[in-house]
Amino acid sequence: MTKDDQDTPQQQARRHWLAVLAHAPRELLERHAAGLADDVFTRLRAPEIGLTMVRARIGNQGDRFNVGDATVTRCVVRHRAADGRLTAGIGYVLGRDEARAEWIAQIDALLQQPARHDALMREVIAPLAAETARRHAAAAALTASSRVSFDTLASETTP
Amino acid sequence: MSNALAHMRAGFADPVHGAQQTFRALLGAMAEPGRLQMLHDAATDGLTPADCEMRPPMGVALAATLLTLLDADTPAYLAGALGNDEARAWLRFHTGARDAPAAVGMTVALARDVDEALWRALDLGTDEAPQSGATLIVEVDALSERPLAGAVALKLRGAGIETSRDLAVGGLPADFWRWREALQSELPRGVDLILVCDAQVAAIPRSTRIESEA
Repeated sequence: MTKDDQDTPQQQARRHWLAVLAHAPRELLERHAAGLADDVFTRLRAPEIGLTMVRARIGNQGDRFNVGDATVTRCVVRHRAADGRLTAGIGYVLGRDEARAEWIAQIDALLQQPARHDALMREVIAPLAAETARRHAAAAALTASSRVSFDTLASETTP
Repeated sequence: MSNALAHMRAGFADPVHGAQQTFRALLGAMAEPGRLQMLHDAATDGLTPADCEMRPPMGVALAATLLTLLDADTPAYLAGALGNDEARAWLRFHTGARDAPAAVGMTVALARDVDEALWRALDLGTDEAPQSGATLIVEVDALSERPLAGAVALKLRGAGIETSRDLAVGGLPADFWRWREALQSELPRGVDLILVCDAQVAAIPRSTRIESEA
């Protein structure tokens, strides 16, 4: 349920990198977060685990129904840049991995610092996005090999 | 929004223990009306950071009390000077509580902002459901079990007090206790009062009679 039309380009960009980070595999995220050891963060909201209700529509149309509860971990950290600029980063991940939520929040905070943005997009977000795209493509290829097409002749009575 | 979050003030260092310790103090305060409860260090930790920009937008005890009592199902009305966007955003972020539009349930105010209109707006509950009566939380200038210069001395009697207990409260409007006294005959309807000051909490529930003031 995205509202792309109403959002500013900055919000869309942030949504993109947060989605990339949330889907990134743990090992890669850990490696990138280890490179941030020099940065100091303050926890505004320590990582906490909660439940969220996942809702969906059958066949992506019709009325919404509740699929079930999902575990979500969230975290908010603040970063103060050398020039005194404050940014707050948020991290939401499915599951109970507190460290992952905090790494995402830290990278999100740094991505909002103009001085760090471009380098991080190049060195962290782009490789993570490529890795996620590769995994999705591999999964899609695996599924496609067993694809069955249900071609039926259209009835003459219905247009 | 993102900018507001970057300047968000701190909450409890440890939300679980901070809220539990504060709740214990509030429970003690309600059980023994007029007795001062000092907030535990675990509760005030994190609410008094060295960085002034991180301090909550209100006093320590008031901040701890609100972080403990409010949640998504418990809105509070912030009266007067407290009803600013920063305090609202801070409570929303740390507790998930929405701000109530009027002084019907939990009502929070600074001592100087309590006026007769606010008292009149408070919900007393009904005889069938007295528990729906309002709770008024006030940050006062001084709170002591011994007489204080410039503070109103109260003598409290009632449930939870063996004979009588003295409490000195400073900074409230002169008529405050008259407005409170007017409700004494309404029991079980009424307003529960929580007074906070620095890191101290005292409560005057609706069942307490205020017998004399000097």
